[in-house]
Amino acid sequence: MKGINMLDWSMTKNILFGWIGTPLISGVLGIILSYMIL
Amino acid sequence: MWELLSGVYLGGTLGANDSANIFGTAVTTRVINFNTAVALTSLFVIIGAVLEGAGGIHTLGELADQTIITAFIASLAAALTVTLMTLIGLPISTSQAVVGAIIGSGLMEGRANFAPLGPIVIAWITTPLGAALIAYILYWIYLNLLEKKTGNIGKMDYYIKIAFIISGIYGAYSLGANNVANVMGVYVEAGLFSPQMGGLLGGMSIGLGVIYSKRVMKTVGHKTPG
Repeated sequence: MKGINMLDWSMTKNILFGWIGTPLISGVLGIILSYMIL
Repeated sequence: MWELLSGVYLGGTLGANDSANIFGTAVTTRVINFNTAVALTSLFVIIGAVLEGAGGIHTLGELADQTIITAFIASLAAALTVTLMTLIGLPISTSQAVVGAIIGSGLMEGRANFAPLGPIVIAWITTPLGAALIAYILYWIYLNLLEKKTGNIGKMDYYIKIAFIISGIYGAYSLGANNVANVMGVYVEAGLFSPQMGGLLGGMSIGLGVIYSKRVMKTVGHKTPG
C-alpha cells in the first residue's frame, strides 16, 4: 500500500466535481439553448 | 453552414486543451520543441480522425436524432461547458460535455434515446481505471526490466526520448480517432456530411486548436501536485 499512500489525493474532489458536473452542466445548457433557439 | 461554427469552436477548444496531455511533458522537458509537437499532433490527430473516427461518431449519433440546428445547439452547449470548466481550471472530458449536451437538448423535443447511455457511462468509469492499471504495469516494466538491465544512463536517456515521441504520436492518433465523434458526431447524424468527411473536418478543427495549446502544455508540463 506504500504506493497508494504516496499519491496526492488533494485534487480528487475537484476531479470528481468535473466528472459528475460536466454532463449535468452541459445537459442543462442544452435544455436552455434548445428552449431559447427552437 | 453557419451551424458548423459551434462544432469548429468545440474542436478548437478540444485541440487547445486535450493535445497538451500528449506532448506537454515532452515539450517542457525539451525532448522536442513546441513547433514539432504541434506539427506531429495536428497531423496524427487528422489521420486518426479520418481512419478510425467513424465508430465513435455512430455511437454518439444513436443518443438522439439530429437536425442541423439541434446539432448546432448541442455543440454550442458542450463548447460553453468546456470553456467554463477550463476557466475554473478543472480537467474534464469533452466526451462527457457532448453526451450531456445531446441528451439535454434532446429532452426538449423528446428526441433523447437513453439506451446507448449505459455502455458510454461504463466507459467513463473503466477508462481511468484501465489507464491506471496499464500505467502501473508499464512503470513496473520500466523499473524491473529496463532500468536494471540498461546500466548506461546516456543510452537510457536516448530510449526514453524515443519512447516519448512514439507515445506522443500514438496519443495524437488516439485523440483524433476517439474525440472527433465529440466534435462532428451530431453533424453526421444530422446528415450534413459522411463520417469520413466529418472525420476530416473534425480532425482539422482539433488540429487548428493544437496551435493554441502552448499555455496549457506548459501548465501540464510544469504543474506538480503541491
